[in-house]
Amino acid sequence: MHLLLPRLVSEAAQRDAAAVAVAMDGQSLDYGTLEQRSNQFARSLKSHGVRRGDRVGLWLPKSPDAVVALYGIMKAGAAYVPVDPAAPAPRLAYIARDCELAGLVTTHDRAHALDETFAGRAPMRALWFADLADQAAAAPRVAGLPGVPWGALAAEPGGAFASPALEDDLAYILYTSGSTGEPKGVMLSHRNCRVFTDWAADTFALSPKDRVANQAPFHFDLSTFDLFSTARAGASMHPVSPRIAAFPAAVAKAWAQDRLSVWYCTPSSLVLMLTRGGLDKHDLSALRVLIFAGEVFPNKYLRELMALAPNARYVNLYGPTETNVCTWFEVSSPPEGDTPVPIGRACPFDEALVLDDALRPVPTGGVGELWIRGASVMQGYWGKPERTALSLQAIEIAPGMFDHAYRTGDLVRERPDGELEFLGRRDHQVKSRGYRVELGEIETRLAAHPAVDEVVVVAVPDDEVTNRLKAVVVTKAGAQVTADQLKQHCAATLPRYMVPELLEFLAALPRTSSGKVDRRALADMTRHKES
Amino acid sequence: MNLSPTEAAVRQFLIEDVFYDKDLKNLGPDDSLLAKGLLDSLSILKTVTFCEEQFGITIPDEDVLPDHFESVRAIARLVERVRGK
Repeated sequence: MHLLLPRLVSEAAQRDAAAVAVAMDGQSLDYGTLEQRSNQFARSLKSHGVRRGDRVGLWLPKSPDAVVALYGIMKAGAAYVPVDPAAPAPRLAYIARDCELAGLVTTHDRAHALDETFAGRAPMRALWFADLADQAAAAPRVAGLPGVPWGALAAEPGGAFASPALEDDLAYILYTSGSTGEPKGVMLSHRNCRVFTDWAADTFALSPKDRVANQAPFHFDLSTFDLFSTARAGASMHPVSPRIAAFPAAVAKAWAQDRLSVWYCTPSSLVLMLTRGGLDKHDLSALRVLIFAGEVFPNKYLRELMALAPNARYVNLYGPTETNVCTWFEVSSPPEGDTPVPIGRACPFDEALVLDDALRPVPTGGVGELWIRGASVMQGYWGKPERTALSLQAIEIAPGMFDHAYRTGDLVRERPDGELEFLGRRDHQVKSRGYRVELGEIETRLAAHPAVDEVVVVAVPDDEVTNRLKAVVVTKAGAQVTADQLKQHCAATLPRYMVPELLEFLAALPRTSSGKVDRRALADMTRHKES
Repeated sequence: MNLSPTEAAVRQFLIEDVFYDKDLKNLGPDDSLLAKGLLDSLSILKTVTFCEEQFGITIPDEDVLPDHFESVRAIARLVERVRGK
């Protein structure tokens, strides 16, 4: 099965077992060891009953062992389900129940929060504790399930493991914000991912000499390039240590010192390195390819960046989690003016369709919604066939020819030269620091608070982080609640990046003449106040 | 808990406006904020802005480094050092 993602590591190990695969915090893991340890973990999963088609969660800080774990899970024929390590336990519990995890890789200090999550959950078979390096370490007991210390993997044989998976099996499930309040599990197959990662490795000419940065967390799809395109080239991946990840100055210094040659990150993180991280003080001569995705890059900062490393290639990638990357644009010279650089044209494995509301093609120059069909398009949302049917629809590509296409919700326009421009969203999804956020999910959570009568969450545009989130709340008559209490209420179940930074109380929400909440008035109000 | 006024102000801000978590009532001045991933990039920016406004100082970007945000005491030490300049 040569298109399976873990084959990339097996092949890199065969070519050069001693080449560094992962380097982090002064430690490195070579391809031979990564291959061997992921084989050991696949055997451990199998011996505890994990089978082809199962799901296994990852809920732990980024580390070389987390990389071993995700390859081992895929080798065992299961899909890995990475959960934000900073997410509160109820979010893990939701995901674990939603996709029926059969196993979990975590750290021992997190175990105390998990009894309720897994008690009596049929498919759950065992937990692995990646921080317990001692083979004889006493692993915590969670809900009466077997607990395996990472050190115990050493007892398993490390030779080649015959993976029971096929290319169209699920490789991973990534959970994204859902507008109705429930996160959605985006299902991606090995083939979905390989078409992108192989194309990217070739297009950006990755070689064993490349040193590839990894800033994206593993629950964010930017990480698939860092993990899999890097492995395809036999290059080394350099994950940012969790200790320094939140400090732009520390990240900029580390990447310059480590002479990383390929960076793939969100514009927000690059802008913070420019504005607060002293990026201009460092030698960036090793930087060969800088790729950005996930949100619009303000031109003034892109120009600054291109001046700092004038010899590097600059590339804008576009694509929702549901399609991974599907269009691309190479920025050949610093952009003039303020019009953002295009999202470009379809990658060779996909087709981009610009359609009107009746699903008819929009002529060049007109505004339409972007639909994507092709090999990188997801298999659907886990356990949500109705939601999948709304997003993946049969479209007539040519007379009498139909294929499923993904409806992105993004409004675009095709320029005369064939490049697509991103114009905005047609719903209430926003980007904040590169993360995709459904305002409705935050509203649902806030509305569940007993003191809240009405609530609207708006995005306040911001130069550095794209948007800041603000909740406008009307409380029930006589109810007492503070902004802090409402933020705590959000933080108890939502990831940190979805907790509104600003909170305002109003006696009533502004309405349009038709009686709908006037979101535009709220956003304008906020903008004036901030400026 | 024996805290200087600066340490107490920083600690209260972190608990109420950054962690949104009253369970951290026992947060000690030397407890590591970074080891558990309690601070993300937005939290750091908020904390810097708070310190600048509260203490009337300007914290240089090059001082916004892990060592200076390791604990409540480390942040207070940074504030005192910048204030003393």
